[in-house]
Amino acid sequence: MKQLVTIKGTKSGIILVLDPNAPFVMLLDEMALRFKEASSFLGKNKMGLMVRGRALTEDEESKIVDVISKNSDLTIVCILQEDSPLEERFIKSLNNDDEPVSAPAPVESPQVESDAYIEEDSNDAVIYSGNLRSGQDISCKKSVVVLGDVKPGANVTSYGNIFILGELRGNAFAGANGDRDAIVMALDLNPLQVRIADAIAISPDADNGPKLRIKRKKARSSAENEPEVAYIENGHIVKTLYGSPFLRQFYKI
Amino acid sequence: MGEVIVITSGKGGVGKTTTTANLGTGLAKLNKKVVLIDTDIGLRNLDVVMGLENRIVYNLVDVIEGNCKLKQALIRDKKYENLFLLPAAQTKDKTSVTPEQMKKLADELKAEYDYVILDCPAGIEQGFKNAIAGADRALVVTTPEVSAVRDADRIIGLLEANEIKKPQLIVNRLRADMVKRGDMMSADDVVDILAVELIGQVPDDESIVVATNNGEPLVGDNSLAGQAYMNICRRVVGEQVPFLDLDSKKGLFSWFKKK
Repeated sequence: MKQLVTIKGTKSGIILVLDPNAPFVMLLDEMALRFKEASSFLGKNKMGLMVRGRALTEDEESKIVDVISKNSDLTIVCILQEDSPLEERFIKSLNNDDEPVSAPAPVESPQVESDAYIEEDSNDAVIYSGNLRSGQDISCKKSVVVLGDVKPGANVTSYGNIFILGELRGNAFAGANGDRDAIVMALDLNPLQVRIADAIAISPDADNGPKLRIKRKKARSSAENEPEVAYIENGHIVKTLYGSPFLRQFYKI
Repeated sequence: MGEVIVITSGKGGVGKTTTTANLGTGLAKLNKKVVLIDTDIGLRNLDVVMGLENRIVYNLVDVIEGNCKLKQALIRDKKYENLFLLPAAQTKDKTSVTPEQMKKLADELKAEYDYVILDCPAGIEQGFKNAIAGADRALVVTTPEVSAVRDADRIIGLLEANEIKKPQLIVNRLRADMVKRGDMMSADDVVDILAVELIGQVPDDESIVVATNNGEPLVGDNSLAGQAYMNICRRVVGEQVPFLDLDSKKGLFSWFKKK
């Protein structure tokens, strides 16, 4: 039979690998047994705890900590996310062996997943750093800032504005909720499709695809890279340089 | 009532997608109503080869899941108005579609189109099972290499086990000079090994690479490969067309060389 609970050790603490399907109560019993068996081996230590295989509620987490402290001499200082900044800090503080660990402010990162909407609604933006490649999507109710390139086949969707501090060569959909004032800005705006609210624009068909592309690349490297922006004008999506003329006209600054 | 043809190979990189694009375009040139379906969910290519990538709004998975109507997802070709493409989804994987759903879709399309051509993914897993589910007929693409021929053999076995009888063979990337030297299998050698009917032999041609990069299938143009693909289209619709002499270009070359 597959073990319901497996205990592993790392430099920062212990990892509990839990069976994802077994009832939680069974897991607790099994845990109690295993920690009792191993308590002499584990000794009297302060440790961090990581849980794999199963997402836990806070209630379940505290029950696990209870079981561990009852059945062994371990003190669980905190519950860690694997490979998180918190773990690093915990390792550091273990070495210093003083002051308790406190979690840094949680970092909200956009999920790169198909059709994953982040349930947030406010006017600020989510920052995603990294390139988005073919098949990777960001969908977000907030505005989106991408610190990287969006390659062909990748999608960025937002209820608000989209700013790409890199090349946009994939698809961008701003104002996905119907906001016709949304814009798409990129350092190099060369997308397959841009959609804003109910308007859609597609890239012109390349007559001499690759040759053209190669030429453009060369021309670009010598010229200044001008950021560009797409927005709706008279019901159509238009593209222009992103600069003070645009800002004056669009935002009446 | 149309016909559903699956283009498959087993091995990757032998030219399934190129063949699909050229076959579809060639049949459209012959005034047939054609729809191409890219079943390579997650690794779509056919839209790029057809030069229609920028027009994609909905895809195969959207149709299957009912997010849009079938008509909305079909992309009309740039040049031929009786040629359509149903692109694959890029963010999903092969398991988001079942063979039953594919069969239903193929049956629906075949009522309205003369030819439904399915571009099959490499491999023999779910994607392959999806692609062959609705097919009436199969074209197996291979190159004259032992590895590709071995995979083609396996594929032919699987097709026959799935009641798709008499698959036909396309031998791609033949190099007449190498065949002549005895360094490469000829189309006939491949046919001897696989024991299926040959429907086309396509030479290794630089213009294929150019056409693919430009997003415009070369079928029917002056290049040797373009003619070879056009001949395949004619044979698909039932005409008797003799096989091209793939050495003709070479012949001209050596004629110049001699002078």
